[in-house]
Amino acid sequence: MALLELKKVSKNFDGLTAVNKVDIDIEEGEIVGVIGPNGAGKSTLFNVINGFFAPSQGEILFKGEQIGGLRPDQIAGKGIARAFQQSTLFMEATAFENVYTGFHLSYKTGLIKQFLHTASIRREQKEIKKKSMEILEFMGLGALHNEVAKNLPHGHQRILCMCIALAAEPKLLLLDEPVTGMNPSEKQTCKELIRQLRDVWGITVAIVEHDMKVVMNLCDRIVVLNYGQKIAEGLPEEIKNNKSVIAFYLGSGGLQDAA
Amino acid sequence: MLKKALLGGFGVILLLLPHIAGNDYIVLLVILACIYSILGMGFSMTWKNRLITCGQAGFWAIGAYSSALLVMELGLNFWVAMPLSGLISALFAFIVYSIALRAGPLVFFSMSLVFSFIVMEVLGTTGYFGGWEGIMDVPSPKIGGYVLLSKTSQYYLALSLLLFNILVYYALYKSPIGRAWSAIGSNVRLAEAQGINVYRYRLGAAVISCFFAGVVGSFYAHTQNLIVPTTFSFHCSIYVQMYALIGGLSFYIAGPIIGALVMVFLPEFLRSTAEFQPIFFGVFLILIIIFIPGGILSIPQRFPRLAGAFLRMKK
Repeated sequence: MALLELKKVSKNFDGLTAVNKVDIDIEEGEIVGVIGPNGAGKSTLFNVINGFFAPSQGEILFKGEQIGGLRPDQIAGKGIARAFQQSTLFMEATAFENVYTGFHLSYKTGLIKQFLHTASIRREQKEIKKKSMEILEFMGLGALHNEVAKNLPHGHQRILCMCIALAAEPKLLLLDEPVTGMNPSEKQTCKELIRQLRDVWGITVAIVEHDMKVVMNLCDRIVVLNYGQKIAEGLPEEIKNNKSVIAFYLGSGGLQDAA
Repeated sequence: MLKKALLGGFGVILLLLPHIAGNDYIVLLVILACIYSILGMGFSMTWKNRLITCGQAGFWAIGAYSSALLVMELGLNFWVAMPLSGLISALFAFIVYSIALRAGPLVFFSMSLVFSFIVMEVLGTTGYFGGWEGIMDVPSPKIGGYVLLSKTSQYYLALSLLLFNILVYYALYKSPIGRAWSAIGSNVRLAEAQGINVYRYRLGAAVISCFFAGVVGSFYAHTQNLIVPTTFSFHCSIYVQMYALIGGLSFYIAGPIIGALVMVFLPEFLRSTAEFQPIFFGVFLILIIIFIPGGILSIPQRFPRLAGAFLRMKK
Protein backbone atom coordinates (compact mmCIF):
# COMPACT_ATOMS: atom_id res chain seq x y z
CA MET A 1 0.00 0.00 0.00
CA ALA A 2 1.29 3.39 -0.98
CA LEU A 3 1.73 6.08 1.69
CA LEU A 4 -0.38 8.54 -0.26
CA GLU A 5 -2.85 7.52 -2.94
CA LEU A 6 -4.75 9.97 -5.08
CA LYS A 7 -7.62 8.35 -6.93
CA LYS A 8 -9.18 10.35 -9.76
CA VAL A 9 -8.84 13.58 -7.82
CA SER A 10 -10.39 16.66 -9.41
CA LYS A 11 -10.71 20.24 -8.30
CA ASN A 12 -13.03 22.68 -10.05
CA PHE A 13 -13.25 26.41 -9.51
CA ASP A 14 -16.55 27.71 -10.89
CA GLY A 15 -16.37 25.55 -13.98
CA LEU A 16 -12.62 25.84 -14.40
CA THR A 17 -10.97 22.49 -13.84
CA ALA A 18 -7.63 23.10 -12.15
CA VAL A 19 -6.95 19.44 -11.39
CA ASN A 20 -8.56 16.81 -13.58
CA LYS A 21 -8.87 13.17 -12.51
CA VAL A 22 -5.31 12.81 -11.33
CA ASP A 23 -4.05 9.44 -10.05
CA ILE A 24 -0.81 9.50 -8.11
CA ASP A 25 0.68 6.96 -5.72
CA ILE A 26 3.53 7.99 -3.48
CA GLU A 27 5.39 5.14 -1.82
CA GLU A 28 7.02 5.48 1.56
CA GLY A 29 10.61 6.69 1.34
CA GLU A 30 10.30 8.12 -2.15
CA ILE A 31 11.13 11.57 -3.44
CA VAL A 32 8.50 12.35 -6.05
CA GLY A 33 8.63 15.38 -8.29
CA VAL A 34 5.57 17.05 -9.76
CA ILE A 35 6.37 19.17 -12.79
CA GLY A 36 4.43 21.00 -15.44
CA PRO A 37 4.10 24.41 -17.04
CA ASN A 38 2.67 27.38 -15.15
CA GLY A 39 -1.00 26.91 -14.39
CA ALA A 40 -0.81 23.15 -14.76
CA GLY A 41 -2.44 22.71 -11.35
CA LYS A 42 0.60 21.65 -9.35
CA SER A 43 0.09 24.02 -6.46
CA THR A 44 -3.65 23.38 -6.52
CA LEU A 45 -2.89 19.69 -6.23
CA PHE A 46 -0.79 20.36 -3.14
CA ASN A 47 -3.52 22.57 -1.71
CA VAL A 48 -5.99 19.74 -2.18
CA ILE A 49 -3.71 17.17 -0.53
CA ASN A 50 -2.96 19.51 2.35
CA GLY A 51 -6.61 20.43 2.91
CA PHE A 52 -6.72 24.08 1.89
CA PHE A 53 -9.15 23.01 -0.83
CA ALA A 54 -11.53 20.09 -0.59
CA PRO A 55 -11.34 17.87 -3.68
CA SER A 56 -14.36 18.24 -5.98
CA GLN A 57 -14.18 14.58 -6.89
CA GLY A 58 -12.03 11.58 -6.12
CA GLU A 59 -10.41 10.08 -3.08
CA ILE A 60 -7.24 10.90 -1.22
CA LEU A 61 -5.93 8.10 0.97
CA PHE A 62 -3.09 8.59 3.43
CA LYS A 63 -1.88 5.36 5.02
CA GLY A 64 -5.08 3.84 3.66
CA GLU A 65 -7.25 6.39 5.43
CA GLN A 66 -9.53 8.78 3.57
CA ILE A 67 -8.34 12.37 4.18
CA GLY A 68 -10.01 14.23 1.31
CA GLY A 69 -12.10 17.12 2.63
CA LEU A 70 -10.55 17.24 6.10
CA ARG A 71 -9.36 20.59 7.46
CA PRO A 72 -5.67 21.52 7.02
CA ASP A 73 -4.96 21.21 10.72
CA GLN A 74 -6.49 17.73 10.81
CA ILE A 75 -4.40 16.68 7.84
CA ALA A 76 -1.29 18.12 9.48
CA GLY A 77 -2.17 16.01 12.49
CA LYS A 78 -2.23 12.89 10.32
CA GLY A 79 1.36 13.55 9.28
CA ILE A 80 1.38 15.68 6.14
CA ALA A 81 3.29 18.95 6.35
CA ARG A 82 3.99 21.47 3.65
CA ALA A 83 6.35 24.29 2.87
CA PHE A 84 4.76 27.09 0.91
CA GLN A 85 5.60 28.55 -2.47
CA GLN A 86 6.17 32.09 -1.25
CA SER A 87 8.18 32.58 1.87
CA THR A 88 5.31 31.98 4.25
CA LEU A 89 6.75 32.55 7.70
CA PHE A 90 5.94 34.18 11.00
CA MET A 91 7.76 37.24 9.73
CA GLU A 92 8.06 39.19 13.00
CA ALA A 93 9.41 36.24 14.98
CA THR A 94 12.98 34.92 15.11
CA ALA A 95 14.03 31.85 13.17
CA PHE A 96 14.03 29.85 16.39
CA GLU A 97 10.55 31.02 17.38
CA ASN A 98 9.27 30.17 13.92
CA VAL A 99 10.30 26.55 14.34
CA TYR A 100 9.30 26.43 18.01
CA THR A 101 5.81 27.66 17.12
CA GLY A 102 5.64 25.08 14.37
CA PHE A 103 5.79 22.31 16.97
CA HIS A 104 2.15 22.91 17.93
CA LEU A 105 1.14 19.31 17.25
CA SER A 106 3.73 17.81 19.60
CA TYR A 107 2.13 18.94 22.84
CA LYS A 108 0.71 15.98 24.70
CA THR A 109 -0.18 17.99 27.81
CA GLY A 110 -3.76 19.22 28.10
CA LEU A 111 -4.78 22.85 27.69
CA ILE A 112 -5.52 23.40 31.38
CA LYS A 113 -2.07 22.16 32.33
CA GLN A 114 -0.58 24.35 29.61
CA PHE A 115 -2.35 27.33 31.16
CA LEU A 116 -1.18 26.44 34.67
CA HIS A 117 2.43 25.96 33.49
CA THR A 118 2.74 22.65 35.30
CA ALA A 119 6.01 20.75 35.48
CA SER A 120 4.98 18.42 32.68
CA ILE A 121 4.38 21.23 30.20
CA ARG A 122 7.64 22.93 31.15
CA ARG A 123 9.49 19.68 30.56
CA GLU A 124 7.75 19.32 27.23
CA GLN A 125 8.60 22.89 26.21
CA LYS A 126 12.23 22.31 27.08
CA GLU A 127 12.24 19.18 24.95
CA ILE A 128 10.66 21.04 22.04
CA LYS A 129 13.13 23.90 22.32
CA LYS A 130 15.91 21.35 22.01
CA LYS A 131 14.27 19.76 18.99
CA SER A 132 13.78 23.17 17.35
CA MET A 133 17.48 23.90 17.63
CA GLU A 134 18.28 20.45 16.26
CA ILE A 135 16.19 21.12 13.18
CA LEU A 136 17.76 24.54 12.63
CA GLU A 137 21.24 23.12 13.01
CA PHE A 138 20.53 20.20 10.72
CA MET A 139 19.26 22.58 8.06
CA GLY A 140 22.26 24.87 8.50
CA LEU A 141 20.46 27.79 10.15
CA GLY A 142 21.79 27.12 13.66
CA ALA A 143 23.92 30.26 13.72
CA LEU A 144 21.01 32.40 12.57
CA HIS A 145 18.46 31.21 15.13
CA ASN A 146 18.13 34.65 16.73
CA GLU A 147 17.61 36.49 13.45
CA VAL A 148 14.13 37.88 12.82
CA ALA A 149 12.59 36.01 9.89
CA LYS A 150 11.85 39.04 7.73
CA ASN A 151 15.52 40.08 7.88
CA LEU A 152 16.82 36.76 6.58
CA PRO A 153 17.99 36.56 2.96
CA HIS A 154 15.60 34.86 0.58
CA GLY A 155 17.49 31.58 0.39
CA HIS A 156 17.51 31.22 4.14
CA GLN A 157 13.82 32.07 4.33
CA ARG A 158 13.11 29.20 1.95
CA ILE A 159 15.10 26.83 4.18
CA LEU A 160 13.30 28.18 7.24
CA CYS A 161 9.98 27.34 5.56
CA MET A 162 11.15 23.75 5.40
CA CYS A 163 12.31 23.85 9.03
CA ILE A 164 8.83 24.93 10.15
CA ALA A 165 7.24 22.14 8.12
CA LEU A 166 9.64 19.68 9.75
CA ALA A 167 8.49 20.88 13.16
CA ALA A 168 5.12 19.24 12.44
CA GLU A 169 7.09 15.96 12.46
CA PRO A 170 5.59 14.77 9.17
CA LYS A 171 5.62 11.42 7.45
CA LEU A 172 5.07 13.14 4.12
CA LEU A 173 6.52 16.54 3.31
CA LEU A 174 5.11 18.62 0.48
CA LEU A 175 7.60 21.16 -0.86
CA ASP A 176 6.22 23.83 -3.16
CA GLU A 177 9.10 25.17 -5.29
CA PRO A 178 11.73 24.88 -2.56
CA VAL A 179 14.70 26.18 -4.55
CA THR A 180 13.03 29.09 -6.35
CA GLY A 181 15.13 32.23 -6.20
CA MET A 182 18.18 30.46 -4.79
CA ASN A 183 21.65 30.81 -6.29
CA PRO A 184 23.35 27.68 -7.67
CA SER A 185 25.32 26.87 -4.52
CA GLU A 186 22.24 27.33 -2.34
CA LYS A 187 20.33 25.07 -4.70
CA GLN A 188 23.01 22.42 -4.33
CA THR A 189 22.85 22.63 -0.52
CA CYS A 190 19.06 22.56 -0.51
CA LYS A 191 19.02 19.52 -2.76
CA GLU A 192 21.39 17.69 -0.44
CA LEU A 193 19.25 18.63 2.55
CA ILE A 194 16.11 17.27 0.96
CA ARG A 195 17.90 14.04 0.15
CA GLN A 196 19.07 13.79 3.74
CA LEU A 197 15.56 14.36 5.03
CA ARG A 198 14.63 11.17 3.25
CA ASP A 199 17.78 9.20 4.04
CA VAL A 200 18.36 10.27 7.65
CA TRP A 201 14.92 11.29 8.91
CA GLY A 202 12.93 8.83 6.83
CA ILE A 203 10.55 11.46 5.50
CA THR A 204 8.79 10.89 2.20
CA VAL A 205 8.96 14.00 0.02
CA ALA A 206 6.83 15.37 -2.81
CA ILE A 207 8.23 18.36 -4.65
CA VAL A 208 6.74 20.84 -7.08
CA GLU A 209 9.63 22.49 -8.83
CA HIS A 210 10.45 24.32 -12.04
CA ASP A 211 14.18 23.83 -11.90
CA MET A 212 14.66 20.76 -14.13
CA LYS A 213 18.23 20.18 -13.05
CA VAL A 214 17.21 19.83 -9.44
CA VAL A 215 14.15 17.73 -10.20
CA MET A 216 15.90 15.33 -12.54
CA ASN A 217 18.78 14.94 -10.16
CA LEU A 218 16.85 14.59 -6.93
CA CYS A 219 13.63 12.75 -7.65
CA ASP A 220 13.13 9.00 -7.79
CA ARG A 221 10.02 9.42 -9.83
CA ILE A 222 8.38 12.27 -11.68
CA VAL A 223 4.76 13.10 -12.43
CA VAL A 224 4.02 15.56 -15.23
CA LEU A 225 0.87 17.66 -15.16
CA ASN A 226 -0.54 19.76 -17.96
CA TYR A 227 -3.86 21.60 -17.86
CA GLY A 228 -4.68 19.76 -14.67
CA GLN A 229 -4.18 16.32 -16.19
CA LYS A 230 -1.44 13.82 -15.61
CA ILE A 231 0.27 13.38 -18.98
CA ALA A 232 3.20 11.26 -17.91
CA GLU A 233 4.77 9.50 -14.97
CA GLY A 234 8.05 7.65 -14.60
CA LEU A 235 11.74 7.71 -13.81
CA PRO A 236 13.63 10.92 -14.60
CA GLU A 237 15.26 9.25 -17.63
CA GLU A 238 11.90 8.17 -19.00
CA ILE A 239 10.44 11.63 -18.55
CA LYS A 240 13.39 13.21 -20.34
CA ASN A 241 12.75 11.04 -23.35
CA ASN A 242 8.97 11.10 -23.26
CA LYS A 243 7.71 12.59 -26.53
CA SER A 244 4.54 14.16 -25.18
CA VAL A 245 6.38 15.74 -22.27
CA ILE A 246 8.93 17.21 -24.64
CA ALA A 247 6.20 18.54 -26.86
CA PHE A 248 4.20 20.01 -24.01
CA TYR A 249 6.76 21.25 -21.66
CA LEU A 250 10.44 20.59 -21.85
CA GLY A 251 11.08 21.54 -25.45
CA SER A 252 14.23 20.37 -27.17
CA GLY A 253 16.29 23.17 -25.61
CA GLY A 254 15.01 22.37 -22.15
CA LEU A 255 16.31 18.84 -22.43
CA GLN A 256 19.85 19.89 -23.07
CA ASP A 257 19.72 22.26 -20.12
CA ALA A 258 18.56 19.48 -17.90
CA ALA A 259 21.20 17.05 -19.12
CA MET B 1 16.33 47.28 34.95
CA LEU B 2 14.71 50.64 34.24
CA LYS B 3 11.65 48.85 32.99
CA LYS B 4 11.37 46.94 36.26
CA ALA B 5 11.85 50.11 38.29
CA LEU B 6 9.18 51.92 36.28
CA LEU B 7 6.81 48.99 36.63
CA GLY B 8 7.48 48.79 40.38
CA GLY B 9 6.93 52.52 40.83
CA PHE B 10 3.73 52.31 38.85
CA GLY B 11 2.56 49.44 41.04
CA VAL B 12 3.32 51.27 44.26
CA ILE B 13 1.45 54.36 43.06
CA LEU B 14 -1.56 52.21 42.14
CA LEU B 15 -1.50 50.46 45.52
CA LEU B 16 -1.31 53.64 47.56
CA LEU B 17 -3.44 55.78 45.27
CA PRO B 18 -6.50 56.27 47.51
CA HIS B 19 -4.20 57.60 50.25
CA ILE B 20 -2.21 59.86 47.94
CA ALA B 21 -5.04 61.12 45.78
CA GLY B 22 -6.83 63.05 48.48
CA ASN B 23 -10.20 63.04 46.74
CA ASP B 24 -12.59 60.34 45.72
CA TYR B 25 -13.01 61.63 42.21
CA ILE B 26 -9.53 60.60 41.09
CA VAL B 27 -10.06 57.19 42.70
CA LEU B 28 -13.33 56.85 40.80
CA LEU B 29 -11.57 57.67 37.55
CA VAL B 30 -8.94 55.01 38.18
CA ILE B 31 -11.70 52.50 38.96
CA LEU B 32 -13.23 53.31 35.58
CA ALA B 33 -9.79 52.95 33.99
CA CYS B 34 -9.48 49.50 35.57
CA ILE B 35 -12.83 48.46 34.10
CA TYR B 36 -11.92 49.77 30.66
CA SER B 37 -8.50 48.12 30.91
CA ILE B 38 -10.09 44.74 31.45
CA LEU B 39 -12.48 45.25 28.54
CA GLY B 40 -9.58 46.53 26.44
CA MET B 41 -7.41 43.54 27.28
CA GLY B 42 -10.26 41.35 26.07
CA PHE B 43 -10.28 43.25 22.81
CA SER B 44 -6.52 42.80 22.57
CA MET B 45 -6.85 39.09 23.12
CA THR B 46 -9.17 38.73 20.16
CA TRP B 47 -6.93 41.08 18.18
CA LYS B 48 -4.00 38.77 18.89
CA ASN B 49 -5.94 36.31 16.69
CA ARG B 50 -6.55 39.13 14.20
CA LEU B 51 -10.22 39.29 15.08
CA ILE B 52 -11.85 42.65 15.72
CA THR B 53 -14.63 42.61 18.26
CA CYS B 54 -17.19 45.40 18.53
CA GLY B 55 -19.11 43.51 21.16
CA GLN B 56 -17.22 44.08 24.41
CA ALA B 57 -19.91 46.45 25.72
CA GLY B 58 -22.64 43.93 24.98
CA PHE B 59 -20.98 41.21 27.03
CA TRP B 60 -20.12 43.71 29.72
CA ALA B 61 -23.86 44.50 29.88
CA ILE B 62 -24.80 40.84 30.07
CA GLY B 63 -22.45 40.44 33.02
CA ALA B 64 -23.83 43.52 34.77
CA TYR B 65 -27.50 42.61 34.32
CA SER B 66 -27.02 38.91 35.14
CA SER B 67 -25.23 39.78 38.33
CA ALA B 68 -27.80 42.36 39.40
CA LEU B 69 -30.66 39.93 38.74
CA LEU B 70 -28.91 36.97 40.34
CA VAL B 71 -28.41 38.97 43.52
CA MET B 72 -31.73 40.82 43.58
CA GLU B 73 -34.08 38.15 42.26
CA LEU B 74 -32.43 34.93 43.40
CA GLY B 75 -30.80 36.34 46.50
CA LEU B 76 -27.37 35.03 45.61
CA ASN B 77 -24.24 36.33 47.28
CA PHE B 78 -22.30 38.88 45.19
CA TRP B 79 -19.15 36.77 45.36
CA VAL B 80 -21.02 33.86 43.82
CA ALA B 81 -22.85 36.02 41.33
CA MET B 82 -19.66 37.62 40.01
CA PRO B 83 -18.04 34.48 38.53
CA LEU B 84 -21.49 33.21 37.52
CA SER B 85 -22.23 36.34 35.51
CA GLY B 86 -18.83 35.88 33.86
CA LEU B 87 -19.90 32.37 32.89
CA ILE B 88 -23.27 33.58 31.58
CA SER B 89 -21.51 36.17 29.48
CA ALA B 90 -19.09 33.52 28.21
CA LEU B 91 -22.02 31.24 27.36
CA PHE B 92 -23.63 33.95 25.23
CA ALA B 93 -20.26 34.58 23.60
CA PHE B 94 -19.90 30.89 22.86
CA ILE B 95 -23.32 30.71 21.21
CA VAL B 96 -22.90 33.84 19.09
CA TYR B 97 -19.26 33.44 18.17
CA SER B 98 -19.31 29.70 17.52
CA ILE B 99 -21.73 30.48 14.70
CA ALA B 100 -20.07 33.70 13.55
CA LEU B 101 -16.54 32.32 13.43
CA ARG B 102 -17.56 29.55 11.04
CA ALA B 103 -17.93 32.28 8.45
CA GLY B 104 -14.61 33.97 9.20
CA PRO B 105 -13.22 37.16 10.75
CA LEU B 106 -15.40 39.62 8.84
CA VAL B 107 -18.61 37.99 9.98
CA PHE B 108 -17.19 37.81 13.49
CA PHE B 109 -16.71 41.56 13.35
CA SER B 110 -20.21 42.32 12.13
CA MET B 111 -21.90 39.76 14.41
CA SER B 112 -20.20 41.22 17.47
CA LEU B 113 -21.38 44.67 16.40
CA VAL B 114 -24.94 43.57 15.74
CA PHE B 115 -25.03 41.52 18.92
CA SER B 116 -24.09 44.45 21.11
CA PHE B 117 -26.87 46.52 19.48
CA ILE B 118 -29.35 43.73 20.11
CA VAL B 119 -28.31 43.42 23.75
CA MET B 120 -28.86 47.13 24.36
CA GLU B 121 -32.23 47.14 22.59
CA VAL B 122 -33.45 44.07 24.45
CA LEU B 123 -32.38 45.47 27.81
CA GLY B 124 -33.96 48.81 27.04
CA THR B 125 -37.30 47.56 25.81
CA THR B 126 -37.94 44.65 28.18
CA GLY B 127 -39.83 45.52 31.33
CA TYR B 128 -38.20 42.73 33.31
CA PHE B 129 -34.80 44.38 32.82
CA GLY B 130 -36.15 47.75 33.89
CA GLY B 131 -36.42 49.25 30.41
CA TRP B 132 -34.43 52.36 29.55
CA GLU B 133 -34.62 53.41 33.22
CA GLY B 134 -32.42 50.44 34.06
CA ILE B 135 -32.11 48.71 37.42
CA MET B 136 -31.75 50.85 40.52
CA ASP B 137 -30.49 50.05 44.00
CA VAL B 138 -28.24 47.19 43.03
CA PRO B 139 -26.78 46.13 46.41
CA SER B 140 -23.14 46.85 47.12
CA PRO B 141 -20.71 43.96 47.67
CA LYS B 142 -20.24 42.77 51.23
CA ILE B 143 -17.42 40.98 53.00
CA GLY B 144 -19.01 39.48 56.10
CA GLY B 145 -20.69 42.45 57.72
CA TYR B 146 -18.52 45.05 55.97
CA VAL B 147 -20.18 46.73 52.98
CA LEU B 148 -17.84 47.93 50.25
CA LEU B 149 -19.41 51.36 50.04
CA SER B 150 -16.40 53.64 50.05
CA LYS B 151 -14.60 54.36 46.80
CA THR B 152 -11.35 53.23 48.44
CA SER B 153 -12.63 49.74 49.18
CA GLN B 154 -14.16 49.46 45.72
CA TYR B 155 -10.88 50.64 44.25
CA TYR B 156 -9.00 47.78 45.86
CA LEU B 157 -11.57 45.33 44.55
CA ALA B 158 -11.16 46.78 41.04
CA LEU B 159 -7.41 46.62 41.35
CA SER B 160 -7.47 42.97 42.44
CA LEU B 161 -9.78 42.13 39.55
CA LEU B 162 -7.37 43.84 37.17
CA LEU B 163 -4.44 42.04 38.71
CA PHE B 164 -6.19 38.67 38.47
CA ASN B 165 -7.04 39.40 34.86
CA ILE B 166 -3.44 40.34 34.09
CA LEU B 167 -2.17 37.15 35.71
CA VAL B 168 -4.57 34.93 33.77
CA TYR B 169 -3.80 36.64 30.46
CA TYR B 170 -0.08 36.58 31.14
CA ALA B 171 -0.18 32.85 31.89
CA LEU B 172 -2.17 32.28 28.70
CA TYR B 173 0.15 34.34 26.52
CA LYS B 174 3.24 32.60 27.91
CA SER B 175 1.78 29.13 27.36
CA PRO B 176 1.59 27.18 24.09
CA ILE B 177 -1.99 28.49 23.81
CA GLY B 178 -0.71 32.04 23.48
CA ARG B 179 1.92 30.85 21.04
CA ALA B 180 -0.80 29.36 18.87
CA TRP B 181 -2.73 32.63 19.05
CA SER B 182 0.34 34.56 17.93
CA ALA B 183 0.80 32.07 15.11
CA ILE B 184 -2.78 32.62 13.96
CA GLY B 185 -2.32 36.37 14.18
CA SER B 186 0.93 36.28 12.28
CA ASN B 187 -0.04 33.92 9.46
CA VAL B 188 -3.32 32.03 9.42
CA ARG B 189 -2.47 29.68 6.57
CA LEU B 190 0.86 28.69 8.03
CA ALA B 191 -0.75 28.19 11.44
CA GLU B 192 -3.34 25.88 9.88
CA ALA B 193 -0.71 23.93 8.01
CA GLN B 194 1.15 23.38 11.27
CA GLY B 195 -1.92 21.72 12.75
CA ILE B 196 -3.45 24.59 14.72
CA ASN B 197 -7.24 24.40 14.81
CA VAL B 198 -7.76 28.07 13.97
CA TYR B 199 -11.52 28.01 14.58
CA ARG B 200 -11.25 26.53 18.03
CA TYR B 201 -8.40 28.74 19.19
CA ARG B 202 -10.11 31.88 17.96
CA LEU B 203 -13.35 30.87 19.65
CA GLY B 204 -11.44 30.20 22.85
CA ALA B 205 -9.91 33.67 22.85
CA ALA B 206 -13.26 35.34 22.15
CA VAL B 207 -15.05 33.40 24.91
CA ILE B 208 -12.33 34.01 27.51
CA SER B 209 -12.36 37.73 26.79
CA CYS B 210 -16.15 37.77 27.23
CA PHE B 211 -15.89 35.89 30.51
CA PHE B 212 -13.82 38.72 31.94
CA ALA B 213 -16.11 41.32 30.41
CA GLY B 214 -18.95 39.63 32.29
CA VAL B 215 -17.04 39.57 35.57
CA VAL B 216 -16.17 43.22 35.31
CA GLY B 217 -19.80 43.92 34.40
CA SER B 218 -20.83 42.39 37.69
CA PHE B 219 -18.32 44.59 39.50
CA TYR B 220 -19.66 47.65 37.69
CA ALA B 221 -23.29 46.90 38.54
CA HIS B 222 -22.64 46.45 42.25
CA THR B 223 -20.35 49.42 42.70
CA GLN B 224 -22.40 51.91 40.65
CA ASN B 225 -25.62 50.55 42.21
CA LEU B 226 -27.42 51.67 39.06
CA ILE B 227 -27.25 50.21 35.58
CA VAL B 228 -28.89 51.69 32.50
CA PRO B 229 -28.74 50.16 29.02
CA THR B 230 -27.24 53.27 27.39
CA THR B 231 -24.01 52.83 29.39
CA PHE B 232 -23.39 49.68 27.39
CA SER B 233 -23.92 51.25 24.01
CA PHE B 234 -21.91 50.45 20.96
CA HIS B 235 -19.83 53.61 21.54
CA CYS B 236 -18.38 51.96 24.58
CA SER B 237 -17.07 49.07 22.47
CA ILE B 238 -15.47 51.60 20.14
CA TYR B 239 -13.89 53.47 23.05
CA VAL B 240 -12.49 50.17 24.31
CA GLN B 241 -10.86 49.57 20.94
CA MET B 242 -9.47 53.10 21.05
CA TYR B 243 -7.88 52.53 24.44
CA ALA B 244 -6.11 49.43 23.16
CA LEU B 245 -4.97 51.28 20.05
CA ILE B 246 -3.73 54.35 21.91
CA GLY B 247 -1.80 52.27 24.43
CA GLY B 248 -0.32 50.11 21.67
CA LEU B 249 -1.96 47.27 19.81
CA SER B 250 1.06 45.03 19.99
CA PHE B 251 1.20 45.36 23.79
CA TYR B 252 -1.55 42.94 24.59
CA ILE B 253 -1.63 43.53 28.34
CA ALA B 254 0.02 46.88 29.04
CA GLY B 255 -1.43 48.63 25.98
CA PRO B 256 -5.09 48.74 27.03
CA ILE B 257 -4.15 49.66 30.61
CA ILE B 258 -2.03 52.64 29.60
CA GLY B 259 -4.54 53.62 26.95
CA ALA B 260 -7.44 53.51 29.38
CA LEU B 261 -5.57 55.49 32.05
CA VAL B 262 -4.57 58.18 29.58
CA MET B 263 -7.98 58.46 28.00
CA VAL B 264 -9.85 58.54 31.30
CA PHE B 265 -7.68 61.35 32.62
CA LEU B 266 -7.20 63.32 29.42
CA PRO B 267 -10.66 64.97 29.42
CA GLU B 268 -10.03 66.09 33.00
CA PHE B 269 -6.94 67.99 31.97
CA LEU B 270 -8.72 69.45 28.99
CA ARG B 271 -11.57 70.54 31.23
CA SER B 272 -13.90 69.95 28.33
CA THR B 273 -17.61 69.50 28.46
CA ALA B 274 -19.03 66.13 27.61
CA GLU B 275 -20.28 67.29 24.21
CA PHE B 276 -16.79 68.13 23.02
CA GLN B 277 -15.18 64.97 24.33
CA PRO B 278 -15.69 62.84 21.22
CA ILE B 279 -14.08 65.58 19.12
CA PHE B 280 -11.02 65.72 21.37
CA PHE B 281 -10.82 61.94 21.38
CA GLY B 282 -11.07 61.88 17.61
CA VAL B 283 -8.32 64.44 17.14
CA PHE B 284 -6.12 62.71 19.69
CA LEU B 285 -6.66 59.37 17.99
CA ILE B 286 -5.77 60.77 14.58
CA LEU B 287 -2.61 62.36 15.97
CA ILE B 288 -1.62 59.04 17.57
CA ILE B 289 -2.22 57.13 14.36
CA ILE B 290 -0.15 59.60 12.33
CA PHE B 291 2.78 60.09 14.68
CA ILE B 292 2.95 56.95 16.83
CA PRO B 293 0.95 54.25 15.04
CA GLY B 294 2.33 51.66 17.46
CA GLY B 295 0.69 53.44 20.40
CA ILE B 296 2.09 55.25 23.43
CA LEU B 297 4.11 52.26 24.56
CA SER B 298 5.96 52.12 21.25
CA ILE B 299 7.51 55.56 21.80
CA PRO B 300 10.85 54.19 23.09
CA GLN B 301 11.16 51.93 20.03
CA ARG B 302 10.02 54.58 17.60
CA PHE B 303 12.19 57.35 18.95
CA PRO B 304 15.24 55.53 20.31
CA ARG B 305 17.24 58.76 20.50
CA LEU B 306 14.57 60.40 22.61
CA ALA B 307 14.53 57.41 24.91
CA GLY B 308 18.32 57.47 25.09
CA ALA B 309 18.33 61.16 25.99
CA PHE B 310 15.77 60.45 28.69
CA LEU B 311 17.99 57.74 30.14
CA ARG B 312 21.06 59.98 30.14
CA MET B 313 19.09 62.73 31.79
CA LYS B 314 18.20 60.36 34.62
CA LYS B 315 21.86 59.57 35.20
